[in-house]
Amino acid sequence: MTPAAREAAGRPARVAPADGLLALCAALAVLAVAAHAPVAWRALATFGFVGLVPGYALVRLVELGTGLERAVLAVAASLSLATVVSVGFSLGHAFSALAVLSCLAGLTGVLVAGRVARRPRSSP
Amino acid sequence: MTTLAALGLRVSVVICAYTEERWDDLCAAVASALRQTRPPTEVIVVIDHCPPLLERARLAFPRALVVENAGPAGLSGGRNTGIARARGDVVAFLDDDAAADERWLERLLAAYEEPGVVGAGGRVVPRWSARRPDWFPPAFDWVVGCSHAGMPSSTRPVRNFVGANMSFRRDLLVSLGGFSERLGRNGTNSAGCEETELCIRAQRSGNGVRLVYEPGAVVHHRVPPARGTWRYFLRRCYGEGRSKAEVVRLAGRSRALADERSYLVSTVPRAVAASLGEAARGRPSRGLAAVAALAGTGATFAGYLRGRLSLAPVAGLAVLAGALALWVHVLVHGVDLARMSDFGLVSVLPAAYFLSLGLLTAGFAWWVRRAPAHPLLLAAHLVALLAVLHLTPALLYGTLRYSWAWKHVAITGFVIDTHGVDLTQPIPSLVAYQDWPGFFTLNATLTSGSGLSSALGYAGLAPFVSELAYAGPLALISGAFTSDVRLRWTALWLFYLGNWIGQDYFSPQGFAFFLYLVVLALCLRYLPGRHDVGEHGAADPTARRRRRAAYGLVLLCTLAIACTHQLTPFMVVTALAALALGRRLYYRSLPAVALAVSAAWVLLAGHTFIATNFPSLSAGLGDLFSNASVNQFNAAYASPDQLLISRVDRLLTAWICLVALVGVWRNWRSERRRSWLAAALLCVSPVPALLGNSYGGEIVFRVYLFALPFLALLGAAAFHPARRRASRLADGAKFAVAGALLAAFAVSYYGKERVNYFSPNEVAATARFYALAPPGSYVTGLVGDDTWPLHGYEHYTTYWYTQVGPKAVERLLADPVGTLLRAMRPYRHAYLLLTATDAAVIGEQGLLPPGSLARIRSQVLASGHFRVVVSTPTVLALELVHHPSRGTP
Repeated sequence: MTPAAREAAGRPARVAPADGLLALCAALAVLAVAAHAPVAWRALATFGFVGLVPGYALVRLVELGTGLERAVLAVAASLSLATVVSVGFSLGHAFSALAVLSCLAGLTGVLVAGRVARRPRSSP
Repeated sequence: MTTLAALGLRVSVVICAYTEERWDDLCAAVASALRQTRPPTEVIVVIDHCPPLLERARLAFPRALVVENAGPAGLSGGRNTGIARARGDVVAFLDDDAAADERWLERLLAAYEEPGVVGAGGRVVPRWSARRPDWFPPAFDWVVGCSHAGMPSSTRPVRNFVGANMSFRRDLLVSLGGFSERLGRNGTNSAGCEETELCIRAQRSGNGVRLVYEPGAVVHHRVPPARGTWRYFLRRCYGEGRSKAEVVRLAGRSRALADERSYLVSTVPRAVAASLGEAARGRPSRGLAAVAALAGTGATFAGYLRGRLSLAPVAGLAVLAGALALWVHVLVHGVDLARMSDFGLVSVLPAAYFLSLGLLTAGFAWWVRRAPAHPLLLAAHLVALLAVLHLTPALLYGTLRYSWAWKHVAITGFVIDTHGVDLTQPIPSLVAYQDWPGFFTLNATLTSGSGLSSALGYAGLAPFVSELAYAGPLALISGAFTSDVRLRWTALWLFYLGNWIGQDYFSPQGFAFFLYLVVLALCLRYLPGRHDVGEHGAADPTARRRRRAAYGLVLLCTLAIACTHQLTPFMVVTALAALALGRRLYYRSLPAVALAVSAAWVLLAGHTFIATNFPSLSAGLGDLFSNASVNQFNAAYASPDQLLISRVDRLLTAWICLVALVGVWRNWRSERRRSWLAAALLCVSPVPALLGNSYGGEIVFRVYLFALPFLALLGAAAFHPARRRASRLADGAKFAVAGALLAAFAVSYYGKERVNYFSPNEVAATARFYALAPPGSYVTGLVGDDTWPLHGYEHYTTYWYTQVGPKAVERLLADPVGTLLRAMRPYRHAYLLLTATDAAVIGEQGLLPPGSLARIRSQVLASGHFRVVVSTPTVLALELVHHPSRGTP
């Protein structure tokens, strides 16, 4: 049952596991880079996070697309966000991967929080 | 009682006919439709490609709208034509050999008063022309197109209707794209189930959607004697089984077979038991009905098995596996890259490689014909094609191909080393990259974040990854124009075979092109013109929210493009302007906003580059013909093989354009014309770029690249016209064109690999040279298409004679040693770098007269002014050692 259908049925919307997963991915990517994890893990975390997570959080928040469409938009939005953020740091001569990833992770957190805040609260 | 709401519905009755043999039945059907207690708004008679019947019907039915089937021959095409011409809120379908009760429409329309009802169907009663055979079980009346025993006796929701008596809301039919033309009867064949598949799709279209069976809405279906035979009975059962298998493919097993399970476990056993009971009570002939029920079930099951257990998927997988096995064989055994001629990789790749490509093309063409079935197999073929085409060089070479890719890896290293770019202190050799740093800062994040020493570790995969990434937005774009799955897959295939330009390597333009495609996909899917959206769509809050979200995403992508690449923002703006001018863009302001974003970036960051290069940038302004001329080769000295390859490039480009024109022509009179006008506009939207600049002689190819997605879409329509059913001839033509395109693509794409390939020896020797040459050194050479140092390139001053221009080359050729000494003396450390790739570029493109390179090399070595610092079969690096007189630079 979709959240909207649950809401219509008078039941509180269940918090989607995807929201928690997105936040976890963001935190893990920053942690892997900050802690100088082995290259294989860092590469997996960095490419996976930068290529998908912030954008997926964004298209989930604005509820755009489903299936393939959402995947394509998520990748494009993620890479665009990463490009814009990294250019910002670069112009300020403050570029470092950790700074960019931290900023993107913070942005992901905000987007996830925005989505969670929009859900109807469950009654006590 | 029918409510006012239901009474307010307008209804169109569609009757399809294909033969004059049923003329009397057709007359009865039309008369019954016009004689209703609730008169229809219109009666539409669709004649299925039978001109004599069309003429006769037009004369005989003045109160009906008689039209010709505008789609493929068959019942589905005829019904879809009726839907397209219908004006009613509800479209009701009646067979040409059926007659409706007077209250048929009244009863059907009454069902629509319930909320969520999008379709209503009624009971179909058999009217046997001869006596009903005793053996014919009532539970199998569906064999003669009628309601069978076991169907509901009161009004209730059902999964599907009987095709002879059904109705749907027209909006729903339009949104679903009508009946599947892969299913449905064509003439006298025994196929069917098109209404079942449509009903399943209808119920998937939204929550709470219902189809209601109203047994009070009755239609009498004439059953001729020919349908009362065992032969017809078994043949029809078998055909139904095969059609069910097709429905399972299209709609999934759970929904397609839900009613059939209960029919098998409940209705058939009851029918058998009832028949046996009657036989036991003294009617032995009724015993045959039990046999017929069992035989009919067996025949249906056999047909279903035949449809499901097709060997085709197994064969398809075998072809795919065979193609991949051949490719792996080539990779494992390797090829002798040292033998590469001016035909590039084409000259050294073995026959097994091309056989692999041929198998993939044949397999793809075969599966496209069966689309939308087996989408995963089609996707697997596409990914395999991309892997074979674009991973092969990376896997065979073991080194990064293409000099510019090395350069981009180096600039990524520069961003990491310097923690960004300084717009106030531009480095002359890097100014274009400093001013548009998006791609490099993104990769600096990925490289540095991953803990890699440089982007070299993954840059080789860029062509494959880029092409694969393009598939997503391309699929979305084609989906915005057509629901024809075969056309969409063909468009993808054409795009990939037409994309010989090679801008998919590790580059800003490759990345920006992906974002360009996403921007257009967003506009076409979420921001169509106000006319297409309609008043309801404009006011719908959900649609409005999505439009705003799409607008925001478009701006985000545009900003990323603006800070990544110089040319792509222009293409984005012209494409959006073309959509706006053609009234295909909801927000007319979007092109201006995109232009503002792009211009703002140029003002913020790009002004240094613009100011530095203004003379060359403005030289071609407005000179369309000069900019459009391609002058990459000096025909007097260039390799004949390369001249041939450049002709193949042009031929392939012209071919794609020609196929697109054929697509426009073949679809001009169809309903696609209006919606596809946007594709035509997007094809020409990059053309204004020709007025701006020659872009180093490449602008015409860039224009082609940005138009290619839409050229491919229109080209695919040439093979899948809206009004014709696929034929073997068309399939053969499609395969022949695909094969020819593949051959041309291989020549165009791989033909230049001799200058793109760096042997491991050359890579190692060049790296050794840069390790020896201290930062601040002056490095000169003839071409500069070398492997760059991964870090610290910005510390070298470089000068490449053929890049500077003809006058510099003339000076060098006239006095090689003197010219070099004059240029190199001012520097404490000055080097001349000559590589095998330089020699290949000079030979292929005819940059110098034959023998010039050897002459320069021998004179320099004999001059005594230089000492050898690196000498390998592929690299010669010389350092200037004598400074007889130091002058100013």
